[in-house]
Amino acid sequence: MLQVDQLRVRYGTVEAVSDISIRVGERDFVSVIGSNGAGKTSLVKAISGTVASEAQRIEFEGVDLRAMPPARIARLGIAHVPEGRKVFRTMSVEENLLTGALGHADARKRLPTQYELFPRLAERHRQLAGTLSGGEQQMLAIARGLMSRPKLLILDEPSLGLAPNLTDQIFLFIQRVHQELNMSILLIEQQAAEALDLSDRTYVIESGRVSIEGPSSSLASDDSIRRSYLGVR
Amino acid sequence: MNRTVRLLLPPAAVAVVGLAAIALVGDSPSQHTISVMLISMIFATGWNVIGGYAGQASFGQAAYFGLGAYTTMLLAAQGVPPLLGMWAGVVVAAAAALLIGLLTFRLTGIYFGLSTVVFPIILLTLAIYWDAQELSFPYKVDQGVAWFAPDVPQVLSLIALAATVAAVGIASLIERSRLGLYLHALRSDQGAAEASGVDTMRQKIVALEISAALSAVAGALYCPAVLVLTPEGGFGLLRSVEPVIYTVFGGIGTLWGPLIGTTILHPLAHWLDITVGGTLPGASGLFYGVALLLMILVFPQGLYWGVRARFGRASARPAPPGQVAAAARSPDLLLRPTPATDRDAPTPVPGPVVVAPIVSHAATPAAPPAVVVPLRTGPPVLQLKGVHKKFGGLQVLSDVSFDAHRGEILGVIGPNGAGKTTLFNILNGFIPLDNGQIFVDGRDVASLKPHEVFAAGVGRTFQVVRDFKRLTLAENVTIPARARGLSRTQAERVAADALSEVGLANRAEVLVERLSTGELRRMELARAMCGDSKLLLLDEFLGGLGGEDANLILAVIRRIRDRGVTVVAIEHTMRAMADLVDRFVVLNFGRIVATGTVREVAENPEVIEAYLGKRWAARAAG
Repeated sequence: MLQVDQLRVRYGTVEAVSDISIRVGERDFVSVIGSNGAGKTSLVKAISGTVASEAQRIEFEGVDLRAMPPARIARLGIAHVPEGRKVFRTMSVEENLLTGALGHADARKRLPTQYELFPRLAERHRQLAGTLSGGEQQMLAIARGLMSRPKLLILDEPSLGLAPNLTDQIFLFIQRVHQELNMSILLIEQQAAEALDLSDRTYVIESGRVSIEGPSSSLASDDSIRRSYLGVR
Repeated sequence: MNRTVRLLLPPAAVAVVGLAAIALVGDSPSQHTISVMLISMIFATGWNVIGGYAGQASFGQAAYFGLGAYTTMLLAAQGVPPLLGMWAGVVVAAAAALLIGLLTFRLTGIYFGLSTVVFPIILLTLAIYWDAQELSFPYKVDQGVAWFAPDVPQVLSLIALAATVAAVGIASLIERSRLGLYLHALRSDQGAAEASGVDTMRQKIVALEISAALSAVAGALYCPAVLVLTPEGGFGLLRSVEPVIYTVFGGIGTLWGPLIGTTILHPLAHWLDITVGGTLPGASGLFYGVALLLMILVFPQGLYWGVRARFGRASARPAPPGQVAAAARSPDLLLRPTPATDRDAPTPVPGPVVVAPIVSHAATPAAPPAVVVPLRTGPPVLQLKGVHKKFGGLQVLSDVSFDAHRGEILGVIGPNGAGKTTLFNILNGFIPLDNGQIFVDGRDVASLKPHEVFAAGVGRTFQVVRDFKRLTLAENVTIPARARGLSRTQAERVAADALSEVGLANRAEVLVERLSTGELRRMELARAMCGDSKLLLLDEFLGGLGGEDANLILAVIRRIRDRGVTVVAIEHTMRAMADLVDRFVVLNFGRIVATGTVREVAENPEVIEAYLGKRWAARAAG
């Protein structure tokens, strides 16, 4: 479904991604873990077209995404929920959701699905997004991503700065989205244990390159991963 | 030696070029253009001190320029030689700057800029009201240099050059001094500068005073240059805009910017005024506007920075995390014993040399491997008694009381919005509390400003890293060390030690923009340590970090604790916190709902419900 080959991202003289190749298949749940500055965020930004990149191939369902503007990439069915839950703070929950389906005539009809998935947002649909708690804002960011009815949902560190109970909830929601809506997920996570737990396959990124990849369950029992990313001494 | 050369090079260069130009032009009418240009350079350099170095965009510099000009002119009418009257102008402008600074520096950003516009307008109105519409400069050919010898145009040029050289010398001194470092810090992040011990209000006033004095000198020299002084010429809006345009065009916050901008724009504008000014009055104003617009589009930071960015040397790329991790794990760093000398002394022995207690220089292989440090005993380092805080109608903190002891790591946890960061902001003086008391080592710090709280021994880090941009890692970390009164060499040594402590010694000369989040978090830790703090407040110290980066930070925090520093930490990553923390304080809706060890809080149903979640509670119990 998504195929990235030999991706390279540079900011000025700094190379954030040197050589990354990943694949996400139909109904796949893929996670990407790695330490900070490894290039995870640059990877997904390159996929959604929000940073310039060079690559042998970035293809989504056979369509070449290279040099395509972000808005067109989104219309192909890729939703990118960025790091730090960037909701429109001075707009209501419902307005925020509607921006996720801009240009679709049936935008309003898509609301009930989201409210069903996230009852909390239904309760607060008229509230300003800026007044929601951190966890609710993250739910809103995900729901807004879903409004475009994407085939692939990209989540960049959804657990960032969230309390443990909210982190659990968010991961549960992601799992539900994956299972109930049959959606492909590309999850970028700092919390490696949860990412390995949820996903089918995992890529470990170090210094702009893929260092290890494989089924999440076998990575979770890998000694070097356990030491580096799971805090096992 | 090297430092002195670098300090004196810019003013010397300006002197040489200026003298050459003045000699070359000689008696011709263009000599007048040179003196007016030099006056603009002084004025622009003055603006650069407050608008550039201090980052406070003042749009009312005409107030000081006009006060300098009017004082000189009015005194000259009374027979006081203008070269003397100029100094009176400097005093008047400096007094005005103190008043204006105290009034406006409470405001920040655009509100500060807007408020400064008011003062020249007031002065302009007063000048018109007091019938000072047109003052003529007394033309005294026989009175010599004190009256600027109007028959010899080189005299004014030379005096203006001397003042320009002095102004550039001052700018050069600022760039290399403690003041320059402080101004850079507060321009980049005022709050972080305060938290690093910089009295930002005071530094801003000092910068404004220097800026006003230079502007007044420019104003005073302007009188013999134009011979007729009008309110518009002294206090007009264009007068305020002029130094801003020159500096922004040339390069803001650098010594060369105002000089470059003036040298390019001034003669062009002058030439336009002569050639098309007759048919198109105000052509120079139009030109300024277009030039500035073009520059902002091409090089938003100005010519100097733009050219530097394009042709300057490329800096190193951040080291791969693995490599840094290896460096930090080297035995030299991890196994360095805690020396007894600093820790066990109940009161520091007063002496001429101040050595940072946290970061020791005494480590030698021969030192005893382990020193028994009585941690978590004695009177509390931090004591909160009934702290209350309301934002409007919302009670953010109510009756928060707890103690933290020496060498203890206290975890503050709670749901998003429980008041944790507000608590930190109250602790380090960012926001005042409504009610209650806070003691650090028995001293009440509740009503102190952030830099005073820092001086009392409280360092902090921030939820989102707040680094000082465009400075190197070493410079960032040096600031708190200098703020507590260390000399340059002492501060640099303390900073170097703190950096090796956090495993960043090999990155000391790298600009902070080039660091990864993990490195920035460790930089903030080093910076907080350089304040010789007894108490560290760490706000989401693992924010966005995982794996090796997180492990490194945790190791650093443990080492700091082992030296007897008290750590109060906010963090959501419970796996890390459970390992690190001695005792938890759990906040919910601004109230303490539980305190105790991991086990104790993990068994508390209220904590599970509000914060931990069932999954984690089960994990902690099992």
